[in-house]
Amino acid sequence: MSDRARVDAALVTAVGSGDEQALGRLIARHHPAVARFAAVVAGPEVGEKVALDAWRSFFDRLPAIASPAAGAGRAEIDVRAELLGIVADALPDVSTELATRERIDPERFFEDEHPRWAGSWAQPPRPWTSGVDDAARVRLVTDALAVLRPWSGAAVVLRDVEAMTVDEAAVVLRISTGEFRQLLADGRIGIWRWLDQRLEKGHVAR
Amino acid sequence: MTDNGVADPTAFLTCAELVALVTEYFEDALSVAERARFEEHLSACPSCRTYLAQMRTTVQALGRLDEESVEPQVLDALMGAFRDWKKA
Repeated sequence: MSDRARVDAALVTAVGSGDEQALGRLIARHHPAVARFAAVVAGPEVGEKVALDAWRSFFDRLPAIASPAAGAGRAEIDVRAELLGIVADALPDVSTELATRERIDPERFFEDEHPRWAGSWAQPPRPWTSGVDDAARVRLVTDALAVLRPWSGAAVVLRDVEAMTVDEAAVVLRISTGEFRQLLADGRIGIWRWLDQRLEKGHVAR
Repeated sequence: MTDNGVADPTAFLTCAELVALVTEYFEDALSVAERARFEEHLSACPSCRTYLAQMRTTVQALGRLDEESVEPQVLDALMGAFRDWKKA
């Protein structure tokens, strides 16, 4: 596992014995990511509250994580995955999102009955404007994350922002890897569509 | 129809089918045969190459999102919650 998990393990042990300085470090290391994930999962209006509640739940679990009797001394603890998993409890039932796929506008492809070009691009993607720097593109994907459906947004954050593996992320969300990849694909399509609508026209908000 | 929504695993992929498989391709989750069909289509289709490049750009931009620092009032709230937890 990672250096992060090893440092976390030492901090969790200290926090379990009441060390507030260690808690401050743990918060600085993980709260920004937890708050961002919570905003995607539960909406920006309540994201911060969901993130705070996740920490409270984490404190409740500390005896199980950090006490010597509970196997402490664990060399590695992935605190971020623990917290993100708690936040994921705020997600609605996954079945709705799994049942309705995110798609590129069907009109961009020739219909299945087309005699020659069935399934080919009718309106192919045009190259994005070259006058957009990385910072502007990052601002756009930040905006796009806010409009994704919650499960798709959660999948994109865990895989593409947090750089978890598919297996790790599926465990955090407590779904299968196949379901995770479907949600990830939907989320990426949603973000691509958002970018395409803006970059193709050379329009960059802000 | 396969799990990936592809009608005929031996036929040439359509653009719409390729678009649906891009994440599986990025995540190395396609079978050897599916990957070969995916790449065969790509080699012949500039529009799908454009789409794939844009999806790579999208994923790369997501990987560059910075984390904000913790606001003092948030830190205070978390410390307060921790003290409450210790007292309980």
